[in-house]
Amino acid sequence: MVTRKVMRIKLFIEQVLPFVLWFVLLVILSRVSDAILHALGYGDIGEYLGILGVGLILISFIYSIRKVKVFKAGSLRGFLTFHEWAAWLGAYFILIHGGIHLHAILPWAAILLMLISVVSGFTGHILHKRVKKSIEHEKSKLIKEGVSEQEAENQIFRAATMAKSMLKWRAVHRPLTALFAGLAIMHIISSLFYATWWGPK
Amino acid sequence: MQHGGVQNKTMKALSSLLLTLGFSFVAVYYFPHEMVSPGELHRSHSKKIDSCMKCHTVFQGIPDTQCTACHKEADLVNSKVNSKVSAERNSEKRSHLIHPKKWLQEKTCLNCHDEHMGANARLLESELDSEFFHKEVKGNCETCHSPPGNLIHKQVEHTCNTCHNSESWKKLIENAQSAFHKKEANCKSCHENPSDNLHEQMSGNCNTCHTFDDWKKLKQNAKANFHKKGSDCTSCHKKPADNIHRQSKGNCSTCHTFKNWKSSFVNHTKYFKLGKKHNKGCNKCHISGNYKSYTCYSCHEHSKRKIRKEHHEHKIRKYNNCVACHRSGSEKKAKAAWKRIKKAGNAGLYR
Repeated sequence: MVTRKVMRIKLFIEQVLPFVLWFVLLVILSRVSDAILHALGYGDIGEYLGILGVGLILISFIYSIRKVKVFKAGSLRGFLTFHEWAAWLGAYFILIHGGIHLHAILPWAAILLMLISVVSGFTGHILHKRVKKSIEHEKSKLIKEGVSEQEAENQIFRAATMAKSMLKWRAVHRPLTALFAGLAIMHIISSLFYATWWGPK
Repeated sequence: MQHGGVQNKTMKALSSLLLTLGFSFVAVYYFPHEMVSPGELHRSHSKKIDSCMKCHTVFQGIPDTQCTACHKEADLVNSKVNSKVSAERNSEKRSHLIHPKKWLQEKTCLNCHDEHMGANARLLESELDSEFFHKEVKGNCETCHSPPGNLIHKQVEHTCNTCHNSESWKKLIENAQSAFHKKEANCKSCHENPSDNLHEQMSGNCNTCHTFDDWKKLKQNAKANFHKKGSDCTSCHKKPADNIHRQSKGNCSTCHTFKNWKSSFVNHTKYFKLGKKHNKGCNKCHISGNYKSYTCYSCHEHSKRKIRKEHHEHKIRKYNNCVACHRSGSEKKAKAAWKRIKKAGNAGLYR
């Protein structure tokens, strides 16, 4: 009983806590950066950071393309790491872009969905790590069968991504991301629709 | 099977995306202000503008023609900031006042104006402060301001920046006053004569004593020119309340001169050093109140009989001018002085 409790605490500290901290850091860092930019008189840069953030998030989807084998170069693990970092950094820039302007609903709904997607991404990472750990013993079997260590690692990684719990998670993560994408696209279109920088200079 | 699963999930994600796009499009179409407006309009606009399209043109921004549809160009150019700037500071009208014609030709409305910053926010870009405007119209203040109609400005023929600068309008530039005041000008055409006792006695022109460069600092000899010998000092000046002046009964000019009032203080030691025994008050020796005469017989120590006896011992019979030998209470110094007189062959003056 006590051992199970200790295990849970250990699990929380090792796997959940780092992602909670990353999320808190994301929010705090973006607020601090925004405040610094405004204090230095560079508040307008936020407008362009939105474009940069969206760009980074779009680029991060290269992992999804690699996963469905549209191309096969590079390790899937490396693409996943890139997906996570690019999405985190993209979210950071978009949070600065959003500032604390509570006037319009659409951009704020997009920001909210983006943050939910980030949390969902963190959850996926934890789940994947747990599934991979549970099938780690299969790696030695594969090596004994004559598969190279690198290949065995790749197979275990891929197997973990296809685990049942991961499929269930993905069934949530994808629609959330799609919702965020929809709101972001609508925000971009409406901004371009009304933007004053089309006009005479 | 797996391929089909992926396709299925992609379709689901795509449907979510399209649904979101559809719903948000409808929301933006019907509630554009709530959904996409970056901030509240200025109160002067929110009353009259009920649709985004009154100002915005799709993918063209806000052309100036949208602004001038309501704000007629003629109104923007012809108006001036009058002398009641402060009164108009909070009125909606004022924001349309300063538009030199060249700005309307060279700039677009959005170069300077901002919207969606709140009902009470400035409609100008934050860096467009008064300093910016004044730099733009430097040396041509009357583009926007009308000259004040008061007495001083009616007499001025110079341009505004002979005396003022736009950084600090109320504080005049250096030498502005002397540039304005011409020598021999009649001060009283603008300035009132001060009503104090001193100025009421004056009959001359102000520049007898004052200069234009530094009004408060008087001209050299101004005081001496003002004070005429023999005039009654106490009609303007109060008699000092110190010990010496309290005892004095004479006129100020007995001791003081007009030219150098302070240095006229009497150095008593020059005539007689007032030691402990002799420092008994002026009237003890100067019994008439005139400090030029004195007597030594006013105390019991210096009785006439005693003094006569002591001087007769030295065959001195003319001893009325005591300070000829006695310059202090010291008997020794008095004897030394008598010896010097004798040595000089002047003893006969006192026998």
